[in-house]
Amino acid sequence: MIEDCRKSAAFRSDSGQFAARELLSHAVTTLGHWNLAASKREIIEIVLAEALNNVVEHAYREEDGHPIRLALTMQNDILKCIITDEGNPIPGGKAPCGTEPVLNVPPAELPEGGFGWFLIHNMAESVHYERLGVGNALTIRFSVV
Amino acid sequence: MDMTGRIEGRLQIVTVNEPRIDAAVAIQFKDEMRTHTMDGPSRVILDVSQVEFIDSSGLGAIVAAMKQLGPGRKLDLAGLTPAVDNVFRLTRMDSVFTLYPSLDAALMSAAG
Repeated sequence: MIEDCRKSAAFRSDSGQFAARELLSHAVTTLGHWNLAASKREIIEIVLAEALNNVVEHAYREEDGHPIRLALTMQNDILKCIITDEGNPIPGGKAPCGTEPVLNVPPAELPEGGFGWFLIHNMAESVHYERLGVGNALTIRFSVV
Repeated sequence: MDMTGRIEGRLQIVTVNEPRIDAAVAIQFKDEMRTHTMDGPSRVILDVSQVEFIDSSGLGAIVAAMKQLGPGRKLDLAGLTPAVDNVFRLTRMDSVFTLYPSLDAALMSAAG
């Protein structure tokens, strides 16, 4: 008989200045309980931070008090994270591919943003965005071997 | 946001006394940096040895802080923890800023 080693956890917060911090704190604590290495937890925390910041800033346009949910599932050395919200869709209907920041410019023209999707795609195994009815679902997978 | 500034020799040192530079405090960070670097030495060292986490908003705020120093002044970073160092390298921001392993190393480079 195959041992069922599936683990899962889910959290919810309301959009606002500290929503991402709150959800990240729950997630990082849970991943610690699941014995993920600190270096893996760091990577996952940055990726989830970027995705959650996008929800607060873009899906909800900095409006407070709207639900953000984060579900974590770990099975067979794959961690699946699903972030759902009830905000505006991502323009174009798909997750931006995230190009590398352009840094060979005069200091005054250096980018102060736009690194988020680049970091997400670089640090995660896979990213999948779906518009579901009145909400968004972003599924991010990490290999945790 | 808890940040402190002091002048040591020809250096302005700004220390972040918080574990995170993230979206929640990015604007405060920029404001604090402006306050601490309004005038004073042309070279500023940002001591981030207590910072365990930075996201792209925090990174953008550091870039903005560097820009608001204006031409002729320089912002270096000291004491990057592994997670912070990782974000700087992935975004290639390590090619924009001079990074020192510790504040002592930054001070030594100025003395030398």
